[in-house]
Amino acid sequence: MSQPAPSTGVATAPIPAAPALASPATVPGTTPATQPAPAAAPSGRAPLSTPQRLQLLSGGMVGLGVLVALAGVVTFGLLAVVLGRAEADTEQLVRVQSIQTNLLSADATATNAFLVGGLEPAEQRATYDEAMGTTSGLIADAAQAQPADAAALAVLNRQVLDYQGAIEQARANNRQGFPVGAQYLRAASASLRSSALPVLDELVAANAERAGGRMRVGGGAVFPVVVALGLVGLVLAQLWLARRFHRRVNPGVLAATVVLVVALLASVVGLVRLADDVRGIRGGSFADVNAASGARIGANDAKANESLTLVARGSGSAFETAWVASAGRVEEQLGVLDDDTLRTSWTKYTGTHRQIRELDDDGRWDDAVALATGTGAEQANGRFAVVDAGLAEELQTSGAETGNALAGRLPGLVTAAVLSLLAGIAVALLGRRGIATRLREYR
Amino acid sequence: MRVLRSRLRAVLAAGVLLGLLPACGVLADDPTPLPPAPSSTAAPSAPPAAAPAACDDALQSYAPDGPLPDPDDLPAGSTMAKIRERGRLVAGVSADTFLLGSRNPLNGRVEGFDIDLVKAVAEAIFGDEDRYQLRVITAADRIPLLESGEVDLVARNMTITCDRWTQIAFSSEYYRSGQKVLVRRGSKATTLAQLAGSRVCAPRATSSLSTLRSKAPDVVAVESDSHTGCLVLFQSGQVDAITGDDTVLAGLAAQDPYAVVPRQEAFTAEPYGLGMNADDVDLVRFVNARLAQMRGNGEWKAVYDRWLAEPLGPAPSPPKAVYGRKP
Repeated sequence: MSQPAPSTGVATAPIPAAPALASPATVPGTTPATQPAPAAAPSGRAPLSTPQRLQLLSGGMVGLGVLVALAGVVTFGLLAVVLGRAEADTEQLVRVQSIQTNLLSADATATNAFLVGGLEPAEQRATYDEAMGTTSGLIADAAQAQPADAAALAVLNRQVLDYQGAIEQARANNRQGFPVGAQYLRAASASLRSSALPVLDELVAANAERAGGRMRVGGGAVFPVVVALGLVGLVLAQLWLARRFHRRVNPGVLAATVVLVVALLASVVGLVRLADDVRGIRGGSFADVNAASGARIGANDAKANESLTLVARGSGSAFETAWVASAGRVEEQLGVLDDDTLRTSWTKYTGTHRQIRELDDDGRWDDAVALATGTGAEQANGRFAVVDAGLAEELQTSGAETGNALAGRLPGLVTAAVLSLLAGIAVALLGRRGIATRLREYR
Repeated sequence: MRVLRSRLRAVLAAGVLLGLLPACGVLADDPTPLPPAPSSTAAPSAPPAAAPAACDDALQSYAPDGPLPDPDDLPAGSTMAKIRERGRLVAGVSADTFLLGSRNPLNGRVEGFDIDLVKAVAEAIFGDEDRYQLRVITAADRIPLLESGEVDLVARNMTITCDRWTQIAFSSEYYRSGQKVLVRRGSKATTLAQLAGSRVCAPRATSSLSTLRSKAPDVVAVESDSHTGCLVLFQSGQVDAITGDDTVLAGLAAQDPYAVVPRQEAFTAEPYGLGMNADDVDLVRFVNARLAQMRGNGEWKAVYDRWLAEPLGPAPSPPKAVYGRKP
């Protein structure tokens, strides 16, 4: 491209004898249709000559191409990153919920073992240790996975340490036959519920909100909007060229227009499908993740309260109220999951719980304890194990499903980003070439 | 043209920045909020405004109607007959007052001096000392549960007071205890006065707590649910001393070698009675007859020896029953 003299478009380039007037003098050579210069540009600048306008237009074409490419890469790239983060948030959600489940399951085991009296059964001790070990590991993982959770997890970690310390003191006293052990157990259980669980509730809520908030693709609309605006620009350019040069169409600009039309249609269709898919994940497997973990947390809380009702021995009505509340939560979430196997196993467990309450209310405390601590298939611990295992499996599968479904969107988004980059480059090259044919007429 | 280009570049750069701006918003996470901290468990408590009722015949109970009837020959329509019909005696007890009523972690049973009295009453009603149901209650539960009739009697180291007589009925005195202080090993304090400025724990709604407040206003009173709860606070360093009946403190000291009850004069007399509903006068008379029997035939001494002889020394003579109260 030739550089025709110093530009007149800028006031800082002083041109002798061309103050605020028409500029044809600076245009070297050839003829066509001199634009009647506006009498006086309001800014006091010289109006642009046609070749200058063409050059500007050519630059505009390149700019448009770059803009489309950029919009595509940024929009689709961001969508891919955001959905990736949603996947990470879902994993974190499952992680913090599993911390909660493990803590409650450890507490349910500790209180249940205490109820048996005498030396804690080795098997229950192992279950407790396993649950606490898993909890520590998960807290470390969770702090690494989401720095925004780190402060809350640090507080939680402290409370877990306190809980574990109190349980150990309960055990040590219990081994010596001191009733203060029971007090340590009760205090540990109570402080777990009053201080650690609220922190976990906040963690669950924050991560559910993060994951849910990121499972939206509305931001993707930026690309089609940019493309549509680009199309309008191309049509206007085409009209101007047609008027100025008396040709019907400029093939280069037309080709660029076609590229943009294809990009527009493809992106709209793709985004609508993506939005559908993501909505499906939110309402499907992701909702199941929430429901399954909510049910599991409620079920473990109920089981611990069942033991505490018996530990309190006749004065456990507060714990029974808590049991009813937790059981309500479980049933609500089971309604969302809509799984007959899970529902049947839960109904069987609640039946056993009712039997335990009847025995205790009848004054047959020993029988109630035997039923509540028995691990046989017909007894409370056996029945509860089925419920817990079923919910754990459901949580595992729907969590993996959500992760896979979200990860499955990534290749499409990367392809879209690459294609829109190519489309942008094509628009820039085609547009510039189309203008260049007109510019050549001025040499 | 150069200027045009540089302008174009500036516009593009601005566009890129604008495009990336929402990205930061979407990708940054606010730190997870923390719930408000729960209030500390060992907060000093404010004294309630209450003027206890006064009288000079607190120990006076209802006299038995002659000798104890045979279990198979209970007066028809009496409270005892109703309990027998139900099949079990329901008693409110403590499960964490070592030696008086506590759950033995080794076998899971609640046992102690108070529990043996429940057994004695069950034996008198049923001829079988195992026909009882224990309801583990806190000190604050004692009067409400008796008033609502949810328990037949309370055997939970309960001090007979004039104030309580206005709400419930008591048996004759079955044990004379006295309030003392428990301190950390090495502490020089042996009286409440020497503990001025320290934090001293007593269970909620007990006479120990009211005495602590009235006799030692300089002491920071800390409430807990039970004496065992006080021991947890003591062991975690949140209180410096515990006050309560010598029987209870002996039970606490037995669980912790660093907790000692120094030699001291008891600063109150705490006569224990079995609590019953104010309307169950026939049951009170019946229980008094059973207690009289126990004092006479050596059963009382046997029960004392089983639980209290080791920490508190040889059995004193059982407290004398005072009768003459009119319903």
